[in-house]
Amino acid sequence: MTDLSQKFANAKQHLRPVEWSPERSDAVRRNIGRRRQRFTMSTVALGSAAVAVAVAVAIVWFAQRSEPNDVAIAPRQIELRDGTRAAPLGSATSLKLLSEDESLVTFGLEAGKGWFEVTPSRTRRVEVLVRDVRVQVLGTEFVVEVKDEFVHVWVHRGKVSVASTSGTVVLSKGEHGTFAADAEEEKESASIETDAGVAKAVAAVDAGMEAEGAKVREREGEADAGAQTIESLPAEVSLNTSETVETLWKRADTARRRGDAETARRALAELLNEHEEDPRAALAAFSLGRVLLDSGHSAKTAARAFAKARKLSPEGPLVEDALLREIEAWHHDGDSRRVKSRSKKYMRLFPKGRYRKQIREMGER
Amino acid sequence: MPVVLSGMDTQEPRAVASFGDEPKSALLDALYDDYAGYVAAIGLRLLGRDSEIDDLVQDVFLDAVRGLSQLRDLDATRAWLATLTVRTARRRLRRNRLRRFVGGSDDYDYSTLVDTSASPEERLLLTRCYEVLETLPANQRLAWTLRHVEGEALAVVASRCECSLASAKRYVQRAQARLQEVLGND
Repeated sequence: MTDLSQKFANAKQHLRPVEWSPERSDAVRRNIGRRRQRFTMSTVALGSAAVAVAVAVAIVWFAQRSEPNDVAIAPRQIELRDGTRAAPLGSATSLKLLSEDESLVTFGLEAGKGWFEVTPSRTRRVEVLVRDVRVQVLGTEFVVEVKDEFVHVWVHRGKVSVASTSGTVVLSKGEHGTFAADAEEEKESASIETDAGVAKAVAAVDAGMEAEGAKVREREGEADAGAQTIESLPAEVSLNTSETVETLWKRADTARRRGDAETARRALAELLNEHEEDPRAALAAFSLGRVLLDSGHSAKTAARAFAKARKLSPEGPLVEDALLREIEAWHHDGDSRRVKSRSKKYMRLFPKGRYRKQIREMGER
Repeated sequence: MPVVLSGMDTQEPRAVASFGDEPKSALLDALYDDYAGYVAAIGLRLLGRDSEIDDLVQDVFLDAVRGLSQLRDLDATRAWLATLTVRTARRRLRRNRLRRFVGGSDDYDYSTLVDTSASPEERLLLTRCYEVLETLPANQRLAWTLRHVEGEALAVVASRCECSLASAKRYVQRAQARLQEVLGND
């Protein structure tokens, strides 16, 4: 122990003790009580302020949520137990859950636009009925809109199979399809522009005379058969330009359903002839090709109809199927040169296409 | 006639364990009755200023009320309150130090700490000692005071200061060195 420590140890005995009188103690006790009270009050005040702020924020949030934006009547989202959801987009949308059981869920979209997110299931199918179009879901997210006489389908994720009056098309992620809704209402055709070449081609098909009367002018190396024209139109062919697209669609569909391929073929040919500028013309050309093939008409003419479908909508959802069908038609026709050139074109356009194997096998036969 | 208490000779008061299920205010009253004097006594040794003791005691018992749930063993109430007192004293010392740093006047006559029976040399030593402690960092001052004024073992010092034993030793040694440096030459 140092000298300083020793000195301090001796000196510290002279440090005064605290004078803690009862009066002093009581005074401090009262102060503690007051400070506790102030602390409690400030805590309550702070808590109340926090609650008030939270309530205000919640009110503003709910108010904003409930404010109509572009939706006059905010329809509610439909959510199924498996997580499948459907929601109307826009005030004019009429979306309903028509039926739900263990194997099938059916939504009905009567008007407007609907968003769907479907949980994949092996045991249960989900369908959306839009007038005459049936969108069958394979586990995906997509939007369906019925506008005027068309049904539009946008696929954001997965795949959907769309069955319409003109057949079934599978749409994949990022694809958009437009289908005839087969609506009851009719509209006057706004403008009709006829392409003489196409008119002749369709008329030739219609008259069943292409084998003996038509001459095909082809450009060597041009893969797009839609660019081809058929000359020597028979004089007796007449085109009724007064009918609207809707009327023709309806007639073709009705005829096809009752197995009247001839009437269906005429209606589609007329539609294609009279309304080539219409967005449905590509679908009409594709349907015409199928009708021609199914009814045993010239495979060559069917191939040209499929080619026309591609030409009318080169970026549309039908292109891949139309090209496959065209190849099949040329294959039936025995035109190996065109089979080869169209197959090459398919491989180039769809390097990961669904029909690569099928087309390759076709070329080998 | 005031009741005179000191930190060293205060005996363990009546058991507060009987207040196990009492509301906080009742338990606080019991704690205050039993330990207020003890807290004031330690506080005076740590701060060296009687004028700050009332506030210190208030702060300690307010902290005690808020931290009652942390008290697992009522037998350790005395040690727990001592630790709270050291913690509160540290805050006050740091605040005083900051006030001095920014230019606030903080002259205090530490000779009032010494009783009349002390010799002039002892009075000077104790006064100078607290004046030097005033210049030390709070942790060093508290550790040295607990060790050399209160006479606590180093392990207890470490516990009260809420630091490791090594840190407690280091604080005490540094404070001692500084006191030796200043007072050894006086």
